[in-house]
Amino acid sequence: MKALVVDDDRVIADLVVFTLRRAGHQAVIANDAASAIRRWHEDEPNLVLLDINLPGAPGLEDGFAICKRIRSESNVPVILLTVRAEEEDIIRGLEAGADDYVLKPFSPRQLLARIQAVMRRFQATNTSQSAKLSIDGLDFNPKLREVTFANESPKTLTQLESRLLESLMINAGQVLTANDLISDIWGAGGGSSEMLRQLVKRLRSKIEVDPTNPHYIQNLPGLGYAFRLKR
Amino acid sequence: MYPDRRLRRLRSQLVLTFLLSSLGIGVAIGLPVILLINRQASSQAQLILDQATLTTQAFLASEQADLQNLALLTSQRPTLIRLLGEQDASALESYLDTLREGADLDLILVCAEGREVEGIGENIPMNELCQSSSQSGYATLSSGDDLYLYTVTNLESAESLYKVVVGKRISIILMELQNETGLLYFLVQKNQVILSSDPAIAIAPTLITTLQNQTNQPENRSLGQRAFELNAHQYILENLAIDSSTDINLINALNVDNQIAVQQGITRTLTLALFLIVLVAFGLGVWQSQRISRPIVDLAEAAGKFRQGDLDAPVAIQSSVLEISQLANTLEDARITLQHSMEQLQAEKASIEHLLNSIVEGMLTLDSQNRITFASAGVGKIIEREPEQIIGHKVDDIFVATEGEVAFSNQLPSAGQQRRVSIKLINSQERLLSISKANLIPPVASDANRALVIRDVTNEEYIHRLLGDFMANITHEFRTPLAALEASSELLLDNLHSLSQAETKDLLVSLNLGIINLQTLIDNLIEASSIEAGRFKVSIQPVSLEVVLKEAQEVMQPLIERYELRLDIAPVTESVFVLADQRRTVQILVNLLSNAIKHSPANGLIKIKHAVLADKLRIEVIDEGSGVPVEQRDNLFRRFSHLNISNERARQGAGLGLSVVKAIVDAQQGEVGIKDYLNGGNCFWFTLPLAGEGQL
Repeated sequence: MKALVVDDDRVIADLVVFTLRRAGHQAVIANDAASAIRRWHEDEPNLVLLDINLPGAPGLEDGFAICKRIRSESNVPVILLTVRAEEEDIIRGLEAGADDYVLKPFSPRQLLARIQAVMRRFQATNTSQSAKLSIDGLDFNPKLREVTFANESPKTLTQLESRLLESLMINAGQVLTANDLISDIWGAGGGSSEMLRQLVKRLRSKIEVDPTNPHYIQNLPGLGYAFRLKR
Repeated sequence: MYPDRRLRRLRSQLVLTFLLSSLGIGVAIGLPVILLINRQASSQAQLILDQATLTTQAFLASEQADLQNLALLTSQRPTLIRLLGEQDASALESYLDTLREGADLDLILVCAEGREVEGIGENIPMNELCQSSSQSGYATLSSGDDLYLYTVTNLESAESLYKVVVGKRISIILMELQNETGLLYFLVQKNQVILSSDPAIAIAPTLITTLQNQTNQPENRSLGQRAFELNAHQYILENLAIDSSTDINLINALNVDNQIAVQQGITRTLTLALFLIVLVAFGLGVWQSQRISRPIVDLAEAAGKFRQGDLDAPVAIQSSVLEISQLANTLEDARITLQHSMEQLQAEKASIEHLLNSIVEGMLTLDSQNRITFASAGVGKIIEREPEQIIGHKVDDIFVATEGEVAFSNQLPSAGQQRRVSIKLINSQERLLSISKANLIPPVASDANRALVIRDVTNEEYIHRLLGDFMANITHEFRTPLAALEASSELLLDNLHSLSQAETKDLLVSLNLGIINLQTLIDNLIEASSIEAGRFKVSIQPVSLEVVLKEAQEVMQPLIERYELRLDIAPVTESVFVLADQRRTVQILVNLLSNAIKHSPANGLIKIKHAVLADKLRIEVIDEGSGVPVEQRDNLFRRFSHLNISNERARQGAGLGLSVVKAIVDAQQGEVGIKDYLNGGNCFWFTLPLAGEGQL
């Protein structure tokens, strides 16, 4: 596996690269936005580890913008590696299509575990032969990450959204705890309940007629989430 | 309603009353007296006239009796009888003439059988008189301007019956009468004035009409009215009928010039006296009314001053009128009491206002229509307007809600609660206010029913947010060196036995760099906190430039190497000393180098240059980074608490390091700045004062 490490702090970048190489992966470094995009195109990495605060370039003022650019070209896993972990940052990260969010300072061991979980998920999704799911007027194709309801044109979900909806629909009618869902989506050690909350919100905005009064995805406070079977 | 006007009216009323009453008394006393005097004069004159008339009557009667006697005497004269018998006419005539002269008669006539025997008298038809049958009477002269009073006596003789007639001219009698009584007489026969006792009086044909009109006027009329003026004399008249058969009247005229003069004199004196009395009474009245009304006017003025709130002038009103004096005293007592209470109230009000104005929080009261009824000085300071200017205005016009918010009055908290409301000032700046509300039970005088206590929390909120941002930023800044520490130490521990020596060294260098970065950060944080707390001090002493540069290089060399950069420090050819705090000056260089490292591209060159100027040393730190945009340069060195919090980029651009650099340079009497450099790199420069010869 080849990873692209984007960080303006060379010490950190070197330590991440060192960690990856010790685990048998290849890694390339970019210290600013411009070189990040250049490396992305030249080295075609299987994974991107992205810092948010770094010297920008026109149209690419920060890590979120880089993530969006990458996401517009590929669904290669992107993990944000940053010192910022406020709600606002998580939302922006999910909006930009990041797959996971790792806060500095980090443990190289845990970073590897998160990287492996994300990669496993990615491979599982990409090789998934899941049949189409259809419940109560909502049609979902996990392979294409396309969702259709109420005769509207199909909408494309992000990988995380697609994973969340798949888990919920497969287990429709049952309550899934937040921890179950987090490990399903981000793998062991990844994600957080705040990230899940934001993800559910984003998914609802795509599949619910009225996201403030959701029909499909039910929240059962203290228990978890459930996909409603029938009206 | 002006007290002055009313009281002036009162004074005129008093004057008028005095005037009328004195006039009334004058008239009531004077008029009867004048009438009485008039009446009295009239009566007296009448009395005189009556008596004179009686005298006249008596005089005429006695004249008649005298004539009778004379006639009898004459008839009994033997000589007359003899002469008659002798029938000697001339002798008779001379005898009769002698008789006439002796008896002072105007007429003497002897008739026989109705015919004149002999007679002496002027202008009289003797035969007619001889034929008269009456014993006495008045006979008219042929000239028509006089009468004879005559009497007839029979003379018995042997031969025949004779009649002897003697008479006297009335004009003569009237002259005698005038001498006797002092009256003026007019003889009137058949409505014609025949003669008057005063020959000086011309008898005009119209005289009779006037005489008849004025005769026998009622006694109660005044002399002036009754009087008849003739030849500049005033007369009162009385008619005396002396012979009804021949319609002869005698009009008695009394001269009343004196009486009228006396009466007019008295009347004049009396009128003058009355006028004087009225004048004096009027004067007294005016004086008295002045005396009464003056203190009342003063009282009214004093009360007027009370109404205007002027309680300082004492009510010092002197009046001889007891009630006014009492009123003035009562008013003065009331004034003192009121003044005392007012002073107390004023003092209390002043202390409350002082209290209200001295607190930073603004006090505002509103009425039921949301109008401002009171605003303390604190409100004025918060909204940057004069409190007087906003009173009476609608609160929503003064406290304008920010865009997208409902009106200020609808954002107020419920009573006893607190709420934050943002408003827009007239200079369109925004303010965040903390508002607490209390409901008032309005007194009758004011309908303020709500009180608001307003506190400007804009700065509090700003500092609060700034502090929050600062804490968040600082936390983030710590995370990067900590990440290096955590990652390198874990890698070292986990792979202790499998790492090559070069790898171990690399990890140890990373560990070291993390520690250096952490150290720099902590140094800056300590300085920043002492700057913020105002405890920041530098200890200035001569410092060698070479030493400072060397120390900074030692600190930063591992980073330079690790980042594969090059550092080029211009050599110090001669010894240069600056006045500075050595440790802090190293800190300046470390911060500037750290900044340069962060922005340098791979294999970049960082240069440190210096130049000795007239009295200072200038040091430049130059990198090959992308450079700081011009619009961000102003904020670059600002202390973090002064950064515009809305400018996310500027805040992120300026780390703690540069603000600490700025503070240290300022404290060392130097300057700091950034300028463009070749190929868009950064050039940060600062100056230090050179140490003089004597300071080494």
